[in-house]
Amino acid sequence: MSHKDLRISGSTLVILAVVPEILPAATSRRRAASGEFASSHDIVPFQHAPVLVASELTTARLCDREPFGPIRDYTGGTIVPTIDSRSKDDELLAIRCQLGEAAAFDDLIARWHGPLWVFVRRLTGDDDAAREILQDVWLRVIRGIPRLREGSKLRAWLFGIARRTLMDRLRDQYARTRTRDFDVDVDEIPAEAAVDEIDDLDGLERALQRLPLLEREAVTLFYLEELSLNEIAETLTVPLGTVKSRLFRGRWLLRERMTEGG
Amino acid sequence: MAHPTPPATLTEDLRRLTALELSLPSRLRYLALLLAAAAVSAIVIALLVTEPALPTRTSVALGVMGGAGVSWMIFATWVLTRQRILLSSHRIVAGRLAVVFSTLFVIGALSVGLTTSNASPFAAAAMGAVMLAAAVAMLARAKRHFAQLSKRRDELQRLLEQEDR
Repeated sequence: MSHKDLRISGSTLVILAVVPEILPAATSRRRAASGEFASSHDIVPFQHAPVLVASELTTARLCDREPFGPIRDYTGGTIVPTIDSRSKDDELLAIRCQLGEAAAFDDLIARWHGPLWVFVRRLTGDDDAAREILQDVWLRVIRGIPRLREGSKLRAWLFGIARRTLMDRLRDQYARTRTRDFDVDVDEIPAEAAVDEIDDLDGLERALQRLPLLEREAVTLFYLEELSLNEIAETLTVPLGTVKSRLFRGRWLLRERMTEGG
Repeated sequence: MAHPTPPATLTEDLRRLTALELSLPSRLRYLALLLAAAAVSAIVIALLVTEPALPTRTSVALGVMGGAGVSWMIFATWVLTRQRILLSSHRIVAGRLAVVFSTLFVIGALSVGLTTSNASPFAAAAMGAVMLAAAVAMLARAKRHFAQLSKRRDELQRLLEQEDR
Protein backbone atom coordinates (compact mmCIF):
# COMPACT_ATOMS: atom_id res chain seq x y z
CA MET A 1 0.00 0.00 0.00
CA SER A 2 1.27 3.43 -0.82
CA HIS A 3 1.08 6.18 1.75
CA LYS A 4 -2.47 7.42 1.93
CA ASP A 5 -4.40 10.22 3.45
CA LEU A 6 -7.83 9.32 4.68
CA ARG A 7 -10.03 11.67 6.68
CA ILE A 8 -12.35 9.83 9.02
CA SER A 9 -15.56 10.93 10.75
CA GLY A 10 -15.26 14.64 11.13
CA SER A 11 -11.59 14.65 10.37
CA THR A 12 -10.28 13.43 13.65
CA LEU A 13 -7.80 10.89 12.41
CA VAL A 14 -5.88 10.20 9.27
CA ILE A 15 -4.12 7.09 8.12
CA LEU A 16 -0.69 8.16 7.04
CA ALA A 17 1.31 5.15 6.13
CA VAL A 18 1.84 1.54 6.91
CA VAL A 19 0.82 0.15 10.26
CA PRO A 20 3.84 0.85 12.45
CA GLU A 21 3.23 4.53 11.81
CA ILE A 22 -0.55 4.38 11.88
CA LEU A 23 -1.11 2.88 15.29
CA PRO A 24 1.07 5.16 17.38
CA ALA A 25 0.20 8.22 15.34
CA ALA A 26 -3.53 7.59 15.62
CA THR A 27 -3.19 6.88 19.31
CA SER A 28 -1.18 9.99 20.01
CA ARG A 29 -3.56 12.18 18.01
CA ARG A 30 -6.54 10.76 19.85
CA ARG A 31 -4.91 11.43 23.19
CA ALA A 32 -3.74 14.83 22.08
CA ALA A 33 -7.22 15.76 20.87
CA SER A 34 -8.71 14.87 24.25
CA GLY A 35 -5.95 16.66 26.10
CA GLU A 36 -4.95 13.44 27.79
CA PHE A 37 -1.39 12.15 27.74
CA ALA A 38 -0.72 8.75 29.06
CA SER A 39 3.01 8.43 29.33
CA SER A 40 6.31 10.16 29.10
CA HIS A 41 6.56 8.76 25.58
CA ASP A 42 3.92 11.17 24.36
CA ILE A 43 5.43 14.12 22.59
CA VAL A 44 3.03 16.88 21.68
CA PRO A 45 4.46 19.25 19.14
CA PHE A 46 1.07 20.74 18.23
CA GLN A 47 -1.98 20.08 20.32
CA HIS A 48 -4.64 21.95 18.44
CA ALA A 49 -4.33 20.64 14.91
CA PRO A 50 -7.37 18.40 14.52
CA VAL A 51 -6.17 16.47 11.49
CA LEU A 52 -2.97 14.86 10.41
CA VAL A 53 -2.19 15.09 6.73
CA ALA A 54 0.51 13.49 4.66
CA SER A 55 2.81 16.46 4.96
CA GLU A 56 2.77 15.91 8.69
CA LEU A 57 4.07 12.39 8.34
CA THR A 58 7.42 13.31 9.81
CA THR A 59 5.80 14.86 12.83
CA ALA A 60 3.51 11.88 13.24
CA ARG A 61 6.50 9.59 13.29
CA LEU A 62 7.93 11.65 16.08
CA CYS A 63 4.83 10.79 18.08
CA ASP A 64 5.74 7.11 17.94
CA ARG A 65 5.69 5.03 21.01
CA GLU A 66 8.94 3.20 20.60
CA PRO A 67 9.08 -0.13 22.37
CA PHE A 68 12.43 -1.20 20.94
CA GLY A 69 14.66 1.74 21.64
CA PRO A 70 15.06 5.06 23.37
CA ILE A 71 12.42 7.78 23.15
CA ARG A 72 13.06 10.02 20.18
CA ASP A 73 12.59 13.74 20.44
CA TYR A 74 13.81 15.41 17.30
CA THR A 75 11.40 18.33 17.51
CA GLY A 76 12.33 19.89 20.79
CA GLY A 77 8.65 19.45 21.60
CA THR A 78 7.49 19.09 25.17
CA ILE A 79 7.78 15.63 26.66
CA VAL A 80 4.93 15.50 29.13
CA PRO A 81 6.02 13.57 32.24
CA THR A 82 2.57 12.34 33.16
CA ILE A 83 3.09 8.64 33.80
CA ASP A 84 3.52 9.50 37.47
CA SER A 85 0.28 11.45 37.72
CA ARG A 86 -1.48 8.69 35.81
CA SER A 87 -0.31 6.25 38.47
CA LYS A 88 -1.47 8.63 41.18
CA ASP A 89 -4.90 8.89 39.56
CA ASP A 90 -5.13 5.12 39.41
CA GLU A 91 -3.99 4.73 43.00
CA LEU A 92 -6.45 7.35 44.22
CA LEU A 93 -9.31 5.61 42.46
CA ALA A 94 -8.29 2.22 43.86
CA ILE A 95 -7.99 3.58 47.39
CA ARG A 96 -11.38 5.27 47.22
CA CYS A 97 -12.89 1.94 46.17
CA GLN A 98 -11.07 0.10 48.95
CA LEU A 99 -12.35 2.61 51.45
CA GLY A 100 -15.88 1.80 50.33
CA GLU A 101 -16.90 5.09 48.71
CA ALA A 102 -19.95 4.22 46.65
CA ALA A 103 -19.22 6.96 44.09
CA ALA A 104 -15.74 5.56 43.55
CA PHE A 105 -17.12 2.42 41.91
CA ASP A 106 -19.19 4.57 39.56
CA ASP A 107 -16.00 6.46 38.73
CA LEU A 108 -14.15 3.19 38.25
CA ILE A 109 -16.76 1.97 35.79
CA ALA A 110 -16.93 5.33 34.04
CA ARG A 111 -13.14 5.40 33.65
CA TRP A 112 -12.38 1.78 32.78
CA HIS A 113 -15.48 0.18 31.33
CA GLY A 114 -14.80 1.62 27.87
CA PRO A 115 -11.13 0.57 27.61
CA LEU A 116 -11.89 -2.89 28.99
CA TRP A 117 -14.76 -3.28 26.55
CA VAL A 118 -12.52 -2.29 23.64
CA PHE A 119 -9.82 -4.71 24.81
CA VAL A 120 -12.15 -7.67 25.32
CA ARG A 121 -14.23 -6.89 22.23
CA ARG A 122 -11.09 -6.69 20.14
CA LEU A 123 -9.79 -10.01 21.42
CA THR A 124 -13.09 -11.88 21.13
CA GLY A 125 -14.34 -10.21 17.96
CA ASP A 126 -17.88 -10.77 19.16
CA ASP A 127 -20.32 -8.48 21.00
CA ASP A 128 -22.20 -11.16 22.91
CA ALA A 129 -19.08 -12.94 24.11
CA ALA A 130 -17.51 -9.63 25.11
CA ARG A 131 -20.63 -8.72 27.04
CA GLU A 132 -20.61 -11.94 29.04
CA ILE A 133 -16.91 -11.73 29.71
CA LEU A 134 -17.14 -8.10 30.80
CA GLN A 135 -19.74 -8.95 33.41
CA ASP A 136 -17.44 -11.64 34.82
CA VAL A 137 -14.54 -9.22 34.70
CA TRP A 138 -16.38 -6.60 36.75
CA LEU A 139 -17.52 -9.17 39.27
CA ARG A 140 -13.92 -10.20 39.75
CA VAL A 141 -12.83 -6.58 39.95
CA ILE A 142 -15.38 -5.70 42.64
CA ARG A 143 -14.58 -8.79 44.65
CA GLY A 144 -10.84 -8.46 44.21
CA ILE A 145 -10.18 -4.78 44.69
CA PRO A 146 -9.92 -4.94 48.50
CA ARG A 147 -6.91 -7.22 47.99
CA LEU A 148 -5.17 -4.96 45.48
CA ARG A 149 -1.99 -3.95 47.32
CA GLU A 150 -0.52 -1.46 44.88
CA GLY A 151 -3.22 0.88 43.65
CA SER A 152 -0.78 2.51 41.24
CA LYS A 153 -0.85 -0.74 39.27
CA LEU A 154 -4.63 -0.60 38.85
CA ARG A 155 -4.33 -0.39 35.07
CA ALA A 156 -2.26 -3.56 34.70
CA TRP A 157 -4.38 -5.29 37.34
CA LEU A 158 -7.64 -4.57 35.48
CA PHE A 159 -6.34 -5.70 32.11
CA GLY A 160 -4.81 -8.74 33.80
CA ILE A 161 -8.21 -9.72 35.17
CA ALA A 162 -9.82 -9.15 31.76
CA ARG A 163 -7.19 -11.32 30.13
CA ARG A 164 -7.49 -14.12 32.70
CA THR A 165 -11.28 -14.09 32.41
CA LEU A 166 -11.01 -14.26 28.65
CA MET A 167 -8.49 -17.10 28.82
CA ASP A 168 -10.70 -19.02 31.26
CA ARG A 169 -13.60 -18.64 28.84
CA LEU A 170 -11.51 -19.75 25.86
CA ARG A 171 -10.20 -22.70 27.85
CA ASP A 172 -13.74 -23.76 28.70
CA GLN A 173 -14.88 -23.40 25.13
CA TYR A 174 -11.83 -25.23 23.86
CA ALA A 175 -12.55 -28.07 26.26
CA ARG A 176 -16.10 -28.30 24.91
CA THR A 177 -15.23 -28.05 21.24
CA ARG A 178 -11.69 -29.11 20.69
CA THR A 179 -11.94 -28.84 16.97
CA ARG A 180 -12.75 -25.15 16.96
CA ASP A 181 -9.88 -22.70 16.80
CA PHE A 182 -10.38 -19.16 18.04
CA ASP A 183 -7.29 -17.71 16.42
CA VAL A 184 -7.47 -16.82 12.79
CA ASP A 185 -4.14 -17.25 11.13
CA VAL A 186 -3.12 -14.19 9.14
CA ASP A 187 -2.26 -16.40 6.21
CA GLU A 188 -5.93 -17.35 5.96
CA ILE A 189 -7.01 -13.78 5.29
CA PRO A 190 -8.04 -13.43 1.66
CA ALA A 191 -5.84 -11.05 -0.32
CA GLU A 192 -8.89 -9.11 -1.54
CA ALA A 193 -9.99 -8.51 2.02
CA ALA A 194 -6.56 -7.20 2.94
CA VAL A 195 -6.60 -4.68 0.10
CA ASP A 196 -10.02 -3.39 1.07
CA GLU A 197 -9.33 -3.35 4.76
CA ILE A 198 -6.29 -1.15 4.70
CA ASP A 199 -8.20 1.61 2.99
CA ASP A 200 -9.93 2.63 6.16
CA LEU A 201 -9.56 2.53 9.88
CA ASP A 202 -12.31 0.00 10.29
CA GLY A 203 -10.25 -2.17 8.01
CA LEU A 204 -7.26 -1.75 10.24
CA GLU A 205 -9.45 -2.76 13.14
CA ARG A 206 -10.45 -5.91 11.30
CA ALA A 207 -6.89 -6.66 10.32
CA LEU A 208 -5.87 -6.27 13.93
CA GLN A 209 -8.54 -8.72 14.99
CA ARG A 210 -7.06 -11.27 12.62
CA LEU A 211 -3.70 -11.23 14.33
CA PRO A 212 -2.92 -14.26 16.46
CA LEU A 213 -4.28 -13.71 19.95
CA LEU A 214 -0.93 -13.25 21.72
CA GLU A 215 0.29 -10.63 19.28
CA ARG A 216 -3.13 -8.96 19.12
CA GLU A 217 -3.34 -8.43 22.87
CA ALA A 218 0.22 -7.09 23.04
CA VAL A 219 -0.39 -4.65 20.16
CA THR A 220 -3.76 -3.62 21.62
CA LEU A 221 -2.39 -2.99 25.09
CA PHE A 222 0.64 -1.07 23.89
CA TYR A 223 -0.71 1.08 21.08
CA LEU A 224 -4.40 1.37 21.82
CA GLU A 225 -4.66 1.11 25.60
CA GLU A 226 -1.25 2.76 26.04
CA LEU A 227 0.08 0.56 28.77
CA SER A 228 3.83 0.70 29.33
CA LEU A 229 5.95 -2.33 28.49
CA ASN A 230 6.31 -3.13 32.18
CA GLU A 231 2.56 -2.86 32.71
CA ILE A 232 1.95 -5.20 29.78
CA ALA A 233 4.47 -7.67 31.21
CA GLU A 234 2.55 -7.60 34.51
CA THR A 235 -0.79 -7.88 32.76
CA LEU A 236 0.24 -10.84 30.64
CA THR A 237 2.50 -12.30 33.35
CA VAL A 238 5.34 -12.75 30.90
CA PRO A 239 8.90 -11.37 30.88
CA LEU A 240 9.58 -7.97 29.36
CA GLY A 241 11.51 -9.56 26.48
CA THR A 242 8.49 -11.66 25.56
CA VAL A 243 6.33 -8.55 25.39
CA LYS A 244 8.83 -6.92 23.08
CA SER A 245 9.04 -9.94 20.82
CA ARG A 246 5.23 -10.18 20.62
CA LEU A 247 5.01 -6.50 19.77
CA PHE A 248 7.70 -6.90 17.17
CA ARG A 249 5.98 -9.89 15.62
CA GLY A 250 2.58 -8.20 15.78
CA ARG A 251 3.89 -5.12 14.03
CA TRP A 252 5.68 -7.23 11.49
CA LEU A 253 2.56 -9.27 10.71
CA LEU A 254 0.43 -6.14 10.30
CA ARG A 255 3.08 -4.48 8.17
CA GLU A 256 3.34 -7.58 5.98
CA ARG A 257 -0.40 -7.72 5.50
CA MET A 258 -0.62 -4.07 4.58
CA THR A 259 2.37 -3.92 2.30
CA GLU A 260 1.07 -7.02 0.53
CA GLY A 261 -2.20 -5.15 0.07
CA GLY A 262 -0.44 -2.09 -1.33
CA MET B 1 -9.84 3.71 13.85
CA ALA B 2 -13.25 2.42 14.81
CA HIS B 3 -13.52 2.16 18.56
CA PRO B 4 -16.43 -0.01 19.58
CA THR B 5 -18.22 1.48 22.54
CA PRO B 6 -19.84 -0.64 25.22
CA PRO B 7 -23.59 -1.03 24.80
CA ALA B 8 -25.53 1.33 27.07
CA THR B 9 -27.55 -1.56 28.45
CA LEU B 10 -24.37 -3.33 29.51
CA THR B 11 -23.18 -0.23 31.34
CA GLU B 12 -26.49 -0.02 33.16
CA ASP B 13 -26.36 -3.74 33.98
CA LEU B 14 -22.90 -3.25 35.43
CA ARG B 15 -24.02 -0.37 37.61
CA ARG B 16 -26.86 -2.49 38.97
CA LEU B 17 -24.51 -5.42 39.48
CA THR B 18 -22.08 -3.19 41.34
CA ALA B 19 -24.80 -1.73 43.55
CA LEU B 20 -26.01 -5.23 44.40
CA GLU B 21 -22.52 -6.54 45.04
CA LEU B 22 -21.66 -3.65 47.31
CA SER B 23 -24.88 -3.35 49.27
CA LEU B 24 -24.25 -3.23 53.00
CA PRO B 25 -27.43 -5.12 54.04
CA SER B 26 -26.37 -8.20 52.08
CA ARG B 27 -23.08 -8.18 53.97
CA LEU B 28 -24.72 -7.62 57.32
CA ARG B 29 -26.93 -10.67 56.79
CA TYR B 30 -23.86 -12.86 56.48
CA LEU B 31 -22.23 -11.09 59.41
CA ALA B 32 -25.33 -11.84 61.50
CA LEU B 33 -25.17 -15.46 60.38
CA LEU B 34 -21.51 -15.62 61.41
CA LEU B 35 -22.16 -14.16 64.85
CA ALA B 36 -25.24 -16.31 65.49
CA ALA B 37 -23.40 -19.45 64.41
CA ALA B 38 -20.48 -18.50 66.69
CA ALA B 39 -22.83 -18.00 69.66
CA VAL B 40 -24.69 -21.26 69.11
CA SER B 41 -21.43 -23.12 68.67
CA ALA B 42 -20.02 -21.61 71.87
CA ILE B 43 -23.09 -22.62 73.90
CA VAL B 44 -23.28 -26.11 72.47
CA ILE B 45 -19.58 -26.80 72.88
CA ALA B 46 -19.66 -25.38 76.43
CA LEU B 47 -22.48 -27.79 77.30
CA LEU B 48 -20.65 -30.68 75.69
CA VAL B 49 -17.45 -29.96 77.57
CA THR B 50 -18.84 -29.11 81.01
CA GLU B 51 -21.88 -31.34 81.46
CA PRO B 52 -20.82 -34.53 83.27
CA ALA B 53 -22.14 -37.95 82.37
CA LEU B 54 -24.22 -36.96 79.38
CA PRO B 55 -25.93 -39.88 77.65
CA THR B 56 -24.09 -40.93 74.53
CA ARG B 57 -26.95 -39.95 72.24
CA THR B 58 -27.07 -36.47 73.80
CA SER B 59 -23.32 -36.06 73.38
CA VAL B 60 -23.57 -37.11 69.74
CA ALA B 61 -26.47 -34.70 69.17
CA LEU B 62 -24.60 -31.81 70.76
CA GLY B 63 -21.50 -32.68 68.75
CA VAL B 64 -23.52 -32.62 65.53
CA MET B 65 -25.06 -29.26 66.49
CA GLY B 66 -21.63 -27.83 67.31
CA GLY B 67 -20.29 -29.12 64.01
CA ALA B 68 -23.19 -27.54 62.15
CA GLY B 69 -22.54 -24.23 63.91
CA VAL B 70 -18.87 -24.29 62.97
CA SER B 71 -19.80 -25.16 59.37
CA TRP B 72 -22.09 -22.13 59.18
CA MET B 73 -19.28 -20.00 60.59
CA ILE B 74 -16.93 -21.25 57.87
CA PHE B 75 -19.54 -20.64 55.18
CA ALA B 76 -20.28 -17.08 56.37
CA THR B 77 -16.56 -16.32 56.58
CA TRP B 78 -16.06 -17.65 53.05
CA VAL B 79 -18.89 -15.48 51.71
CA LEU B 80 -17.55 -12.39 53.47
CA THR B 81 -14.03 -12.91 52.18
CA ARG B 82 -14.80 -14.15 48.66
CA GLN B 83 -18.29 -13.12 47.57
CA ARG B 84 -19.49 -10.15 49.59
CA ILE B 85 -16.07 -8.71 50.23
CA LEU B 86 -15.88 -6.33 53.17
CA LEU B 87 -14.43 -3.02 52.09
CA SER B 88 -12.59 -0.91 54.60
CA SER B 89 -15.64 1.02 55.85
CA HIS B 90 -17.67 -2.22 55.94
CA ARG B 91 -15.01 -3.81 58.15
CA ILE B 92 -15.40 -1.09 60.72
CA VAL B 93 -19.18 -1.53 60.80
CA ALA B 94 -18.73 -5.31 61.02
CA GLY B 95 -16.11 -4.95 63.74
CA ARG B 96 -18.34 -2.72 65.86
CA LEU B 97 -21.28 -5.08 65.49
CA ALA B 98 -19.09 -8.02 66.45
CA VAL B 99 -17.81 -6.21 69.55
CA VAL B 100 -21.31 -5.26 70.66
CA PHE B 101 -22.69 -8.75 70.02
CA SER B 102 -19.80 -10.50 71.75
CA THR B 103 -20.06 -8.20 74.75
CA LEU B 104 -23.77 -8.93 75.08
CA PHE B 105 -23.07 -12.65 74.76
CA VAL B 106 -20.44 -12.58 77.51
CA ILE B 107 -22.65 -10.52 79.82
CA GLY B 108 -25.60 -12.86 79.19
CA ALA B 109 -23.56 -15.99 79.78
CA LEU B 110 -22.06 -14.60 82.97
CA SER B 111 -25.49 -13.54 84.24
CA VAL B 112 -26.86 -17.03 83.68
CA GLY B 113 -23.77 -18.53 85.32
CA LEU B 114 -24.08 -16.32 88.39
CA THR B 115 -27.77 -17.08 88.85
CA THR B 116 -27.34 -20.84 88.50
CA SER B 117 -24.82 -23.21 89.90
CA ASN B 118 -24.01 -24.65 86.49
CA ALA B 119 -20.49 -24.48 84.99
CA SER B 120 -21.66 -24.46 81.40
CA PRO B 121 -22.54 -20.73 81.23
CA PHE B 122 -19.08 -19.85 82.54
CA ALA B 123 -17.49 -22.02 79.87
CA ALA B 124 -19.68 -20.31 77.26
CA ALA B 125 -18.70 -16.92 78.72
CA ALA B 126 -15.03 -17.89 78.42
CA MET B 127 -15.51 -18.70 74.74
CA GLY B 128 -17.47 -15.48 74.39
CA ALA B 129 -14.51 -13.64 75.87
CA VAL B 130 -12.29 -15.15 73.18
CA MET B 131 -14.82 -13.99 70.55
CA LEU B 132 -14.82 -10.52 72.11
CA ALA B 133 -11.02 -10.32 72.07
CA ALA B 134 -11.00 -11.37 68.41
CA ALA B 135 -13.70 -8.78 67.60
CA VAL B 136 -11.78 -5.99 69.35
CA ALA B 137 -8.59 -6.96 67.49
CA MET B 138 -10.43 -6.99 64.15
CA LEU B 139 -12.03 -3.63 64.86
CA ALA B 140 -8.68 -2.08 65.79
CA ARG B 141 -7.11 -3.52 62.64
CA ALA B 142 -9.99 -2.26 60.49
CA LYS B 143 -9.69 1.24 61.95
CA ARG B 144 -5.93 1.28 61.44
CA HIS B 145 -6.34 0.14 57.84
CA PHE B 146 -9.05 2.73 57.20
CA ALA B 147 -6.87 5.48 58.67
CA GLN B 148 -3.91 4.45 56.49
CA LEU B 149 -6.01 4.44 53.34
CA SER B 150 -7.65 7.77 54.21
CA LYS B 151 -4.27 9.35 54.84
CA ARG B 152 -2.93 8.12 51.53
CA ARG B 153 -6.10 9.27 49.72
CA ASP B 154 -5.78 12.78 51.17
CA GLU B 155 -2.08 12.86 50.29
CA LEU B 156 -2.77 11.83 46.68
CA GLN B 157 -5.58 14.35 46.33
CA ARG B 158 -3.26 17.08 47.59
CA LEU B 159 -0.48 16.04 45.19
CA LEU B 160 -2.83 15.91 42.22
CA GLU B 161 -4.30 19.30 43.06
CA GLN B 162 -0.78 20.74 43.21
CA GLU B 163 0.00 19.25 39.80
CA ASP B 164 -3.17 20.73 38.34
CA ARG B 165 -2.19 24.25 39.39
